[in-house]
Amino acid sequence: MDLSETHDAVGNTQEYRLSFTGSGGDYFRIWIVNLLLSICTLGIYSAWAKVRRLQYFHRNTLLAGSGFDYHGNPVGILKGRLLVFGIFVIYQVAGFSGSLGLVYAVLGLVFLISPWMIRQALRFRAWNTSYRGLRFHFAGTLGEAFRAYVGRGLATAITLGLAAPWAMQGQARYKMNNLFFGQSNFEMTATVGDYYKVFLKILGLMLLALAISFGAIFLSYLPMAGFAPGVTPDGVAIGIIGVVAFYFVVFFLIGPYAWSRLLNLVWNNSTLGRIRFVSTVRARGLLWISLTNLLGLILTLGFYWPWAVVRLARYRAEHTALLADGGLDDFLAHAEQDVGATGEEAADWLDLDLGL
Amino acid sequence: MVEARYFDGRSSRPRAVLLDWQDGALMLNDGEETLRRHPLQEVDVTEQLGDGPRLLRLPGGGVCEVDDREGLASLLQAGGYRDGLVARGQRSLLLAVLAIVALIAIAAAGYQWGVPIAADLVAARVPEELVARSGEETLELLDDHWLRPSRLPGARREALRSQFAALRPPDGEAPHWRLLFRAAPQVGANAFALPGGDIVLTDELVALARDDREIMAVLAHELGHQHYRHGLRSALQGIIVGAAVTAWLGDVSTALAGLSSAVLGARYSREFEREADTYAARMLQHNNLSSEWLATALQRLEQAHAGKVDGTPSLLSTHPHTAERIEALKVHR
Repeated sequence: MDLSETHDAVGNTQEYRLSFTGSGGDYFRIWIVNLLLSICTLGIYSAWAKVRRLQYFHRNTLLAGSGFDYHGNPVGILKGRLLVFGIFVIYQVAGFSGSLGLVYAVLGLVFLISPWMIRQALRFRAWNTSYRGLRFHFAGTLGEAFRAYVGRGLATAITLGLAAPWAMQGQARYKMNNLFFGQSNFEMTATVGDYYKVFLKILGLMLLALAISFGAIFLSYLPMAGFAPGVTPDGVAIGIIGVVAFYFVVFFLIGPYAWSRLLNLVWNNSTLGRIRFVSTVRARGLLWISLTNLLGLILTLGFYWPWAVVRLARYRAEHTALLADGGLDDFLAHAEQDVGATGEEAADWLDLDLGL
Repeated sequence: MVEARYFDGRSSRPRAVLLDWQDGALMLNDGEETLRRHPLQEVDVTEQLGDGPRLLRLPGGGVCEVDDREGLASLLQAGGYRDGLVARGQRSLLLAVLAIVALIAIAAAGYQWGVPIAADLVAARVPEELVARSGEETLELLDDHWLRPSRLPGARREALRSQFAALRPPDGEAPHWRLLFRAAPQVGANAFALPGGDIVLTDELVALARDDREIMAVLAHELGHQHYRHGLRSALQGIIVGAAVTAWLGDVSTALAGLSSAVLGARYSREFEREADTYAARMLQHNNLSSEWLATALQRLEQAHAGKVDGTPSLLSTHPHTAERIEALKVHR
């Protein structure tokens, strides 16, 4: 086999870097044709478009010369979307009827069924992803999902966010520790303490940003309070614009920072059998990509989108590596896969995609 | 013959094989023996997507990964395989350009005609109780935050109400309406139509008017909103535009999506204002009053609000410029 992707053998351990072979120009043609078909069919074709999009990104993500593959059934995706759309319509009707009770009832219901929806999405996504002819699968139970999302989610709300790292850790562990590649289990070992460390750094940055923006608001209101006579309302407008602009900056600085730290935390503490993962995504890399993507999207009224997502996918792939003790050739298929390659036996739960 | 990596579906170990086409079947040979043999129609040939390896999914599990695009393409061609219509379309540059033009045309037509028509269709089917309920909720919200009970004497209120009730609407029957008086120190002179038929008139506007006919003109404008069910329709248009813009830009930036929705929605709102102005002008004439009264009222309102916050850029403005509205009213003289 082709081992040219292998680098830096350390002892028996080999490093495999992910790479991405897609290009914005290629993806643009796929995207635009599928988008047009989706619009012309009032959204129905969008399920087929989603399959194609994921196939594009999976097959162009290479690991040790092999690409990933996506097997999702568009009908299952369509059914999931219809369900979510139905809930959205009910929510809108509830909102329009003006009855707050009804709105809260719908939101409460969505919150209660969210563990089922999340588990369904994770199952569908995992089972329909393969690498080297072997499928992934997700074995999380509904009870675990309920504890991780409803239980820890409520705790986060009650503690006004103080329990957020605990909730995030539980949710990440649920997603990772129930994920299998063939017969091999992923395992995430990041502790709640690790999450609190990242959380504190993010919180510190947010407080700093808040303090500065409150300062800006205060300064722009000073003239109105009569401290500086003769100032026109333009001063207020400038203050507001300044604050809005500042929030944009905060959004672009703290967002990428939080995303990169959490992503690295999960992957750098995860294993798959004798494989370790190395994620080196940096906030400044993401920041540069998001800023230039935003600029491109504004200048092209949104038509830059395919290039934007391809750039992000490439960045992520190129900053992820595997340290494999003993190579990648010894994974074995999950028993279920032997029964039927398409997994039709379990089709009842596999055939509904709730991932958006 | 084309080189490929074969995975048997049981382990992740690759085997180098040669693919060939023989007697109507795809053959996998590892150099010594034929490992698999399948009629081409049983093989799930995936599309070539980008530069990644192309996959042949074999029946009963197992997959072949091929890096040699051209070699595989000619092998498949020899076997009588043809790419699907969409797969071919995705490779065409001309089609991509045509698709951009078509998308822009669809978006423009949808904004110009599609959204208003769709909103009208839905509006006609929304139960009246639901609309009334939404109006009541809005009124409660306004009462809680912006409005105070009216301080106008009861007799004055009654006089204005009966004066307006005596006016005949221009298009047959009047829409259902109810006139409410409120004081609005923060909002100032204003009047608005709520979904379901309520028309709110502020004490400040009553005080501002030098002639009751100016008030009648403003009320006729609000009755126009009720006649065309503008409240409900603009809410529905807002939902549709918001959903479309969020679908297009939501992943990029919600702020950008919100701003675009506001700009796009404001143009609909300005059209509604013009419609209501026309309705009011016709109503005034129908009752042998001059449409000049509306122009006077608009001017007075503009002066009353001048210097307050009127720095809204015209793109975001929900109302057309007063000068433009007054100019448009001249047609009705």
